[in-house]
Amino acid sequence: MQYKPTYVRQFAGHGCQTRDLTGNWSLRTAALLSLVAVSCTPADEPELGDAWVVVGAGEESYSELVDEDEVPIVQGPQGGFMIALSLQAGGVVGGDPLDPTKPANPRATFQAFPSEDPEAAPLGSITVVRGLTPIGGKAFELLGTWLIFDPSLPVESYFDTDMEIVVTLVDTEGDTASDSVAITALAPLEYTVPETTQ
Amino acid sequence: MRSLVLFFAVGCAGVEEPRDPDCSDRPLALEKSPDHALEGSGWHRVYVQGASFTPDANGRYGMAEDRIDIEEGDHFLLSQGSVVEWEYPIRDTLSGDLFLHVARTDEEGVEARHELLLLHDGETIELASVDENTDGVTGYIPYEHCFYQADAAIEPSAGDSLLMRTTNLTGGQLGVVVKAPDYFTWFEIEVE
Repeated sequence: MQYKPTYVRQFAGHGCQTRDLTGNWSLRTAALLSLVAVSCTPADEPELGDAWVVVGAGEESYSELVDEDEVPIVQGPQGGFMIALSLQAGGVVGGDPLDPTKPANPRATFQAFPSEDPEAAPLGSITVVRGLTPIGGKAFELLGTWLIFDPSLPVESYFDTDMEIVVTLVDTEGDTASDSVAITALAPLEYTVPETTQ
Repeated sequence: MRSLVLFFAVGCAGVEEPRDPDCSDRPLALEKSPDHALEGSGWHRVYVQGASFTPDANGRYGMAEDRIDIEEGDHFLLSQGSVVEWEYPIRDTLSGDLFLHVARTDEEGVEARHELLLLHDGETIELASVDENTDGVTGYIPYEHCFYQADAAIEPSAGDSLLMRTTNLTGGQLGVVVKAPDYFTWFEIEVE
């Protein structure tokens, strides 16, 4: 898996500016080179040590999510409905991906909020304490976290619904990063109506 | 904080003869705290909130000592490492004696860890922990376990709270059940 840094999302405000380098060159040099460079001022460059996280989708492989993506809802073995989420991260203590009991494992919380009312109670929430898998370039990933929608809610609350997926990652050093993305969760093509719990 | 000595009442090799192998050595009378925090000498039963309860910013659910205050909803933990946590403030000294009752569903082979922790001055201190891998089929089969602390007193400071946590260690179907009128998850703990 190629590591693809997405600093812009995580470091909002640390924007990179486009500069036209031809302003300081002779006309002939400018004609030859016609350079336009994108650069970040040193103060805006993200430090390698800063914690960052990007929320994605996928059960067995990471799939990047961008705003307005559609994510399919699946029905689980116990009748509930869920979506598979993942993350990529860096600048954190990754822990041990093979041992869920290791104290050094970081904590990731995924939550889904309705876009039309971001202050409402989450449609679903799951916390995972689990080691992250290194993927190169000092980055990690965590795959296949199932966010199960609150079974007490009517399915219309989340079927074909716009929602904000928020992930918060905290490591054992206290370094924290968060990310969010706006998606539409698509109702499954076939499903069985679960018994109501209330 | 004094060190804690745990005696598991069920099946730990090398441990002294269990004081109460069937976890029945608990007073029948239960006390209730005057406010929403553990307080008042005696045994208290503390119920966990169900998934319908709105978690706090840390994703933690609340607890209550009156079943009427409990909102339903099973907590489903499918992924390896997935956890559910509940938090309850404490105001009085705890003896540490604890009885755990977890109503749960699971599939065969799934292993869960149930813990009781103390949140104290920014630290998380383990008070009791048990790994459960009893064979089961999907259904409401409560898991019960008792802990008896020897020479231990947990004196809380202002702002301390208890944290109960269930972790899915293996992945697979695991649900912590909160469903009226018969299936609640709770612990009983002795306040000095």
